Amino acid sequence: MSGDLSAPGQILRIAGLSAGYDGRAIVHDISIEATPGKVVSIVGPNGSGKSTLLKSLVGVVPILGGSVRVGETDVTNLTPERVATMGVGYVPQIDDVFPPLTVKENLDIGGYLLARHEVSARIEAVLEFFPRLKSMMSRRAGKLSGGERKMLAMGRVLMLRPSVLVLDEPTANLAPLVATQLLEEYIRGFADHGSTVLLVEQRAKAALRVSDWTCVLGGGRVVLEGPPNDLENNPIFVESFLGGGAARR
Amino acid sequence: MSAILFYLATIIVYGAVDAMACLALNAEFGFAGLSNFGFIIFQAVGAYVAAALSMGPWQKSNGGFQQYIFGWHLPFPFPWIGAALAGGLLALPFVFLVGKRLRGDFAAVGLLVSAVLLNQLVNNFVPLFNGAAGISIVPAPFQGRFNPQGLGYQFVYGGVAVVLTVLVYFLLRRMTESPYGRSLRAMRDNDVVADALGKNLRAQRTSMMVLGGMIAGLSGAILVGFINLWAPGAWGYAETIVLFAAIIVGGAGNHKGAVLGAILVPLGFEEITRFIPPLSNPSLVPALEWVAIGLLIILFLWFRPDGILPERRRFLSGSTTTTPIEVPRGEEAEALINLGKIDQMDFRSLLRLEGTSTKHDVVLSTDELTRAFHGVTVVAGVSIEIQRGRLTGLIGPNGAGKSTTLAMLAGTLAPTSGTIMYEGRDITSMPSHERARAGIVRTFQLASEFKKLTVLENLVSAIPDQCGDSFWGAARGKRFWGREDQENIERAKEMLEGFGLTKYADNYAGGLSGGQRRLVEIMRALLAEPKVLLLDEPMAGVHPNLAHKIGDQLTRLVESGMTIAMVEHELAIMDAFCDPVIVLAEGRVLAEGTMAELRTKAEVVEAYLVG
Repeated sequence: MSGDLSAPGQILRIAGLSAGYDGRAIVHDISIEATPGKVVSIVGPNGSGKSTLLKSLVGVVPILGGSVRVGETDVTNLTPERVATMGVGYVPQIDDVFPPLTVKENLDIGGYLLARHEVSARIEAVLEFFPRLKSMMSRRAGKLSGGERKMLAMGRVLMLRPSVLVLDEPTANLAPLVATQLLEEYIRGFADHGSTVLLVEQRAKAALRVSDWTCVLGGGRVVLEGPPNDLENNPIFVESFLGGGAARR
Repeated sequence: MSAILFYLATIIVYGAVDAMACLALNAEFGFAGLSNFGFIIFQAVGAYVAAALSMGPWQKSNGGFQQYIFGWHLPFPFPWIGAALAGGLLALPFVFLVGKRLRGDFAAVGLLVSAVLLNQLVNNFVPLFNGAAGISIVPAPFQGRFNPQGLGYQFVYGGVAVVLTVLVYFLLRRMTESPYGRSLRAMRDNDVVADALGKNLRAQRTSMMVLGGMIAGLSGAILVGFINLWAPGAWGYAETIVLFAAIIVGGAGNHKGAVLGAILVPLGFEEITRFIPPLSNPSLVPALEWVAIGLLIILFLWFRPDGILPERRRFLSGSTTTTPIEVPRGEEAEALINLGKIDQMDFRSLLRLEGTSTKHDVVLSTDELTRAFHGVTVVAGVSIEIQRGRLTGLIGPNGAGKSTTLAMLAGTLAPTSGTIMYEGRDITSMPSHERARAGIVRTFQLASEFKKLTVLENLVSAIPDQCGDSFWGAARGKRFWGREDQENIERAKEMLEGFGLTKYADNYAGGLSGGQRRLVEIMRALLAEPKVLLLDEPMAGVHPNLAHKIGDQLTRLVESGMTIAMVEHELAIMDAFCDPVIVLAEGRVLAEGTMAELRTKAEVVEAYLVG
């Protein structure tokens, strides 16, 4: 595969982060470090604050305390477009593509910040990673299947050669087989290319299989973290999803 | 001198006509939340009917130079009565636009387009309306006996117009300051919730469109009888915008505000611009007038969105303090919310519950219930049974179809296929408000209080079968419904006391904290006297302390004979209060049992930790 899919990864450091709406924190005191070549996943039950955490990293939700650094750069509370230019590529859970536009137009927009002559080369690189998109360049994004649409969303983000990829529940509403392929082939693939990958997943077990490190969120805090093998057999892991134990505050 | 007096008489008539129109539009828009952008049609039709009824047959009068229908040469007051009737009848075809199917903004666009289309029709269809020329030489009322050009006649005409406007004012006030008016404002603030509490939205909207249409028709008649001509050019859709501007400036939801707005905007603007000396381009001043009206709307919406005379707050509690109590904010305040003397409250008598039933027969059930959105099946063949006198929990991971199932039980959403049975009856196609009346009441996951109703009004509005909560009931006046309403207020106060929110009785519900709003919603649902209460994530965003207090009361309610089904993702709550618990995953029923049993089931664990 082509080596210039993404820029060399940078360390993403989240330190003591609290974030929320209207001055009210939804996630509290989160510290996570994601390093190049690794997938760090965040799992947890409904309403545990996973998406809020991701949105705060990319400037969509205000950060109320703590800091976020990409490499040596402090990106705490920068506007979303500034965060994007700092090398953070964010794939939201919904509204991830422009449905009325074609696949090609979506990728073009992804390369909006690039010089005109760079765009076609970038599209080539992205298509090499997602060969499936090649045959559907003139199709409207809204007509794609769930899996293809997600590939396009990720491809669009890759147009800017991000050094850190942040993905919010990429497998939501996908068929199980497609979800597995997306996680194991592509998202793992980003890390194998040297990117830093931070992944929020609803499919906890599936996420464990592709991660190097996993954090379990509950009630807006990290209740458990560690390498996937340790977590899977930890009773608190199941409890944090199904309750009935001491894992909840 | 007499020129000034003639001018004054004209101003009085115009002012009365505009005030009447603004009162009617305000009743529709400010109270019932109907953005009637076609309002001017009603006025125009009323004016036309009044004109055509008062004139002789077109072939014979004035040499037959203009064509129109009717031409019955009716004496006063029949043309005016006809105008009001025409305005009211015209509302009926429009009701389907603002009925249940079309959301507010779409209905507004639909009405606006209708206004433009009808104007085009009139302008270009000569046999019916004489085209763009309109009708002139419309007889003034009693012109055979009095000289319509005389000053005395003009002032009498103005006096009649003012008296009628005052009557309209009191009639509308009678309607809006009643339990029915409360329901109208509830619908305005949140129609989906009002529907779920048993308000018949279609009937409410129809009644206000018809009443507003009648008043608009009458105002048109008054104008046409005074200026003696009717031309479609004068009734462009833009005139509706001027009336909306008047209401926004004066104060929506306030009858005095509507009158004030009418005097300031349509009347004031028109008259003031008359005194601006003509500029180089004669069309410049009228054009600037439009710019000014646009700016006025924007400035008011920006700086004083409630208008000069904002909607009045209704103090129902009888307490003497009229300043709202400050609401404590923040997480600690939420944790400290207490429920008052709730344990002494007798739910059974307060909520008119039937006796406790020891047999837990099935009260509400579904068979193969399915719902698809745009081809995605969210609920795929769910068959569940909800037993009488139990607190049933509904859980499942994100996207499992819990809320959708609950919405179908309550009638908020129609199922794609499958059936719902309630007490032995098939209620699959029963509309939501009828289900509420039959005893199935739901709450909503997102904040759903009626924001511009006070806490007490929110509660009282939910009480079913109020004699003043219908168009005719309200029309019979306070003497008819006053005593019962006072009893209802006392009942709501008792509830408020139990939940410890008495001091916020007269606060706007929209200004409460998150936890308090939850309580208001639960109290309101209870006062709707449910037999089956459906709660959609009632503890979402509620502090755990308060959540457990609410849970305890739910248990008491169930013990008093109520049936409750609750969607909740906080599983600790399910542990503590719900039995049985039904697990949904990917639109299907996965398992049922107590929480402890469910945790041991591999398929449940798998559903939550999808691999």
